[in-house]
Amino acid sequence: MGDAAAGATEPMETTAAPRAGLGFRPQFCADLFAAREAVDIIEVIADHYLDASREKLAELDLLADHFPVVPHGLDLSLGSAEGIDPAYLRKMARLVARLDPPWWSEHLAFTKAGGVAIGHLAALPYTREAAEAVARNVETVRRAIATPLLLENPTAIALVPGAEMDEPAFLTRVLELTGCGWLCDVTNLYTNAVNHGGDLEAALDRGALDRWALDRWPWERVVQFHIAGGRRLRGLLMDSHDAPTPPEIWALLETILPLARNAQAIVLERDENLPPFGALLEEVARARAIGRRCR
Amino acid sequence: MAGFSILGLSGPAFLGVYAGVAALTLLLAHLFIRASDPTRDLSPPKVPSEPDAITLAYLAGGVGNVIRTLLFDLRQRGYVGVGADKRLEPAAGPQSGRVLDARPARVLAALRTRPTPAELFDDWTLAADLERLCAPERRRLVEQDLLAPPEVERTAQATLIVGSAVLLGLAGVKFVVALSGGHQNVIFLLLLAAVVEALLWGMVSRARKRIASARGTAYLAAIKRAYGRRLSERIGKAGGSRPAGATAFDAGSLFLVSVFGYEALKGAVEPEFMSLFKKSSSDSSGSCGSSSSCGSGDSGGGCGGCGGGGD
Repeated sequence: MGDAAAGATEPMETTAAPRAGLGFRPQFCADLFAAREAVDIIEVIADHYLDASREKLAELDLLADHFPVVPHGLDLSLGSAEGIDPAYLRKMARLVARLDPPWWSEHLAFTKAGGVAIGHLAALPYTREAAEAVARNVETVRRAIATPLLLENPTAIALVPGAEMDEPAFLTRVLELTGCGWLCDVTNLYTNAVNHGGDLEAALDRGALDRWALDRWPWERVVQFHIAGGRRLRGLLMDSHDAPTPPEIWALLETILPLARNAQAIVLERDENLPPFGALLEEVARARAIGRRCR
Repeated sequence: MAGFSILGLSGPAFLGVYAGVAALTLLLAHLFIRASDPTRDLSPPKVPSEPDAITLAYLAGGVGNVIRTLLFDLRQRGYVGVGADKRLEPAAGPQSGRVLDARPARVLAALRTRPTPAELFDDWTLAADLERLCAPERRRLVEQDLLAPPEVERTAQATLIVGSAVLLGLAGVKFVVALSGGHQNVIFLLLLAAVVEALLWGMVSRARKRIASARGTAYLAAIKRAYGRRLSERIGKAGGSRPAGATAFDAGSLFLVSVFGYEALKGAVEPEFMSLFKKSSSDSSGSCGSSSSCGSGDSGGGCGGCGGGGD
C-alpha cells in the first residue's frame, strides 16, 4: 500500500511554472475557444460525462483536442467505509481512459454512507480508521485506474466529533498511506481555518502568516491548486464558487506556492454568477503570474 | 444445379435477388466513395481563435455560401434593401464613407440589376468573379486537406458507371428474357431498377458536389461545436428593435453565418429579409438562395448549382 503503488503521485520537483487554467463550464465554451492561448489547462467535472450523450462526449473530445484536460470527480466517495461503487468506478475508468490525462482528482470526503447518497461532500472524521478506509478505497481505485489520483481537501461545515488528529495531520496521514498527490484547494483551506478557529484569518489580518503552522501541511505533495471565491452565510464562509477569488486567497496562494515545489497547475473554479469571460481570464492570468513569480 | 440461371428465376424470386444485388451495389458504392477520400483518417486542424468568415463560408458551401454570407453582412450593415416587389437592391449603406472590400463590392454590384435571390445565385459571372477572388482562401484550404480531393469525384464517376452497368444491365437482360418468354408483367422490375438507379445517382451526385473533404467536414463540425453557444448569444443580441446598420454579427461573428447558414437565423434575425430566401427555396429554380440546400455546413453538401467550388 501507499508509496510504491501503481499510479501513486510521487513528489517530483519541477522548475516549470504551474499551468494556469479554469474549470470548464459549457456557458463559456465559445469564449474559451476564442481565447485559447490564455488558458493552459482545463478541468472538467467528471460526473458530467459519466453517462453523457454522444454530443456531450464529442464536446469533451473537442476540449481534449485543444487543451490538457484533467477530470475532477465528485461522487466516488473515497471515504465510505463500505467501499467504492464498482459501477461508478467503471464509468470513471472509462472516462479517464478516454482523456488520458496527466492526473485526475477526487475529494477526500464521502458522499455515500450505508449505501445511501447524502447529496453533498461530507468531511471525514480525522481518525486513523477513516484514513485507512480511504487508503483501502484508493487501492481499489488504482486497480481500475492507473493514472495518478489527486485528493482534494474539502470544506468541513462541522468537524466530526472524536477526532484523533487535526486536518493537516489527517491529510498528511492519508497522502502517506495512499501515495496520492494533493489537490490543494486554497479556498477550502482558508474556509476551514476561518470557520473552525479563525487562526488563519487572524494571522492574515496581522500579516503574520508564517505563524499559521505552515510547516504542518504536506506542501511537497501538491500537484494542483484550486482557487475560488465564496460568500459568507450566517457567519460562516461558504465555498460557493460564485464570486471572484478574494484578496486573502491570492495572498495565501502566494504564500503557499514557493513551498509547493511540485505544483503543476492552478485551476480557477467558478460555477455561479458567471462574470464576463474576460474577468475569469484576468484571474487566470493573475494565477499564472503568481505561479511564475513564486517558482 | 447445372442449369441454374438467375435469369431463369420466376418474377418474384428474381425481384428478391435483384433487390439484394441493388442493396449490395449501393453499399459498395458508398464504401468506395468514402474510401476514396484520403483525409478521412486525419484529425481536423485546431479550432481557430478568430475564425475567418469567408474561408469557412467557402468550405461549408463553396462560392454560393460565400455570396450568402456576404449578402447577409451587407444587409445588416445597411447596404442591401428589399423592394416592394421582393427584389434585392442596393441601399445607401452606413454614412461612414468606408470603402467596401472587393468581394462585398462585387456582390453589391450584382444587386444593381435588382435580382431576386434566385437570380442572384444563378448569376454565373458573379460566381466566377468570387471564385477568383476567393483563390487565396481556397489555396489555404487545399493546403490543409480540407477540400474534397479530385479522387472523390473520379471515384464517384466510376462508381456511377460500374453501378449503373450492374443495375441496369441485369434489369435490362431480365427484361429482354421476360419479354421474349412472353411475360409482360415487368413493371415491378422497371420500377425497382429506376428507384435504385436514382438512389445511386443521388449518392454519386452528392459526392461529386462535395466541397469539404472528410477532414474539412470534421473541422466544420468542431467549429460548430466550439462556437455554437455564440450563435444563440448573437441571435439574442440581434433580436428586438435595433437600429438599421447595427451589426450583431460583426466581423468577429460573421463566421457563424458561414457555418450555421441562414437556416439557423430564420425566425430570429431579419425575418423579412430571410423570408425571401425561404420563398426562393420553394421555387423550382433550385436556387442556392435556399437555405436548406447549402446552409447546413457540416453536411459537406455544397451547392453545385451556384458555381460553388467543388473540386
